[in-house]
Amino acid sequence: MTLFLALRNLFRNKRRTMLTLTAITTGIMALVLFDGFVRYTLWGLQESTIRNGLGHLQLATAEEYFTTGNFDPFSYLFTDPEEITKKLKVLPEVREVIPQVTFSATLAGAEKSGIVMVQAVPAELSHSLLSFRNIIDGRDFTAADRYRVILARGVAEKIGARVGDTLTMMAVTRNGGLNAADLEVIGIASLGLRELDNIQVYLDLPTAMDFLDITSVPLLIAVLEKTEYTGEVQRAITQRFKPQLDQALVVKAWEELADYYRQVQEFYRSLLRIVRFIIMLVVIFTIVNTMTMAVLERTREIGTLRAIGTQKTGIIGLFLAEGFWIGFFGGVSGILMGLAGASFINTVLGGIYIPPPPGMAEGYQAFFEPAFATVWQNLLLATAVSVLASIYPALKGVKMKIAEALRYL
Amino acid sequence: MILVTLQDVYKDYIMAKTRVPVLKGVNLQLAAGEMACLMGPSGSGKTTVLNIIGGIDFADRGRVSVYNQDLQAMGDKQLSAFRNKTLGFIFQYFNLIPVLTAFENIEYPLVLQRVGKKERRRRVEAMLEAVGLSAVKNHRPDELSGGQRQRVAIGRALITRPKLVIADEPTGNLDHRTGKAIMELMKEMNEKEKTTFIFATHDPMVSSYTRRVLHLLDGAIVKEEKA
Repeated sequence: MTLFLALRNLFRNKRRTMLTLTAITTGIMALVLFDGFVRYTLWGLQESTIRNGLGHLQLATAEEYFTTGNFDPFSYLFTDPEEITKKLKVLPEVREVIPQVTFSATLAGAEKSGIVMVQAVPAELSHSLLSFRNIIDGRDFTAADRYRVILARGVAEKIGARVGDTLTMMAVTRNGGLNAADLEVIGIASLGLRELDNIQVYLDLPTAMDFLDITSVPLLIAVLEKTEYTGEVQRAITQRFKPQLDQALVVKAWEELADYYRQVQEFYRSLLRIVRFIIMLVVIFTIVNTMTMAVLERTREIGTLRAIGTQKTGIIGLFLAEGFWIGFFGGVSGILMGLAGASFINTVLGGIYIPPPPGMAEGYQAFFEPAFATVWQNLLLATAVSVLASIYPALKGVKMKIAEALRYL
Repeated sequence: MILVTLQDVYKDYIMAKTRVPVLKGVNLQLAAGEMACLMGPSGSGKTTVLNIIGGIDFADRGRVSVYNQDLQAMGDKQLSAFRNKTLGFIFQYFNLIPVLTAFENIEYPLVLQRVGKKERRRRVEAMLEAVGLSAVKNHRPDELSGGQRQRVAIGRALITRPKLVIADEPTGNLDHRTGKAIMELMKEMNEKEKTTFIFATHDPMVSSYTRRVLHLLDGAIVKEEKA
């Protein structure tokens, strides 16, 4: 009866109810859209991070490799990388296992030089790992390429190098000596992330191993069929394969290694929390205002209900139920509007162009992909906040003395 | 059987920080099945006496007993249940719930008592028949005339078969003919169901239906007439 009575009361002052519903609907719609935008943006950043050379899982021989390995890859070479590769490839979730050497080097052009980070993988597997790398000038590696280099755009600009130029690379080899080699620039790539664009260069793996005088690699990268499999495969490697190996093995998931991604993720989550907080404040004030007006208008009615035997808790329940309905209807219509808005932006407008965010080299076309779980969270939030916001007016309603309430005109 | 006892009841109101005495030692006893009436000018304390008997206001001093219950000692839960089960209220402005139909308004006290749906329907239909509103049972209060609204209020007051019905100016907002019809209805209920009624009114027509008239003046019963 309480819910039923509350539902009818909702439509007594249609204009006020509509205004309240509009406020909640707008707030929840904004939340759904913003949530969809953040979700898509983080997904895009996640995939570009993974497919710009990080992979889903990285396997090394020691924890320290992940902090000092780029400067001293020689201390962490696998004794038998093939054994691990074979074992991993048995898992259906694993698409590719890619051996990799990463080291720092000095790259000198005709007039300028700079410190770079060299990433070397087999040319035939590079596509799996570097699918987000966009060659903007020149070409990608072929299996036959040796002593050739692809530069990230920022590096090319810094050194003043162009496709066809010959650069000199200098780095410390396994024996501690300094080695130098001439490399022909065959391509210039854009990586999307400014921090990578300014430092990254690519070699084919045989050239890097020959240059560094090594016969094994310090790092294996697993590229999975789907990013969602990361945790599952990491557990399988740690629990099933690791005990069977004669060599040490440390497995890191991409998220542990992607500092920039984590910062951006935290930034957006904080932003979402702030937006959610502001919207909920607006909802609270709207509901408190609506309910306070309702209590005032229905003072005599509250007195009557109390006189005929409704307990104080019954009156409180009635106003909380009204808050529930307003929050629920506002939440549902906000979600529907939000989903319709997202669909309109994605399909009719083809997304919205977002200029390069801080740390990114390029802008992107943003789509709105609200998650099912967060959509329901927003409904729950709108309903819960509306109910909570109704408590104060409801308490005000039952504080009145019945005899006074009955006299109220 | 004595249903209501008011013994040396005093009540003050605070108005603009000034204490205004409203009841100054009211003594009253009401027997079961009686139909009594409080008469007096505005501000004489009629409504306050009814409110105190109805447990919706409290005396500052004195003893209030209704159906052998000390209302002053009850908590909200107990008092609400008491009002719902033992008392019925009829107001000058009808005080119906505007979003509920005539049927639902009459049904509401039974919902509070958690009476089953079938039983509720049966009793409400019978009450609608008794107050002559079966044809408009699905109408909301704003679709009913003043007389019909007061009939709904009577139905609501009587649906729980209360021991005592408290009616404050029940005809105050009705024309003379409709007022008479309403009083006839209440008299019929009093005779048929032996329900006790106490009225507060200015209207001699109302008092003509009762066997006992108590005159209040400045917060005290100054005269009593018995038919």
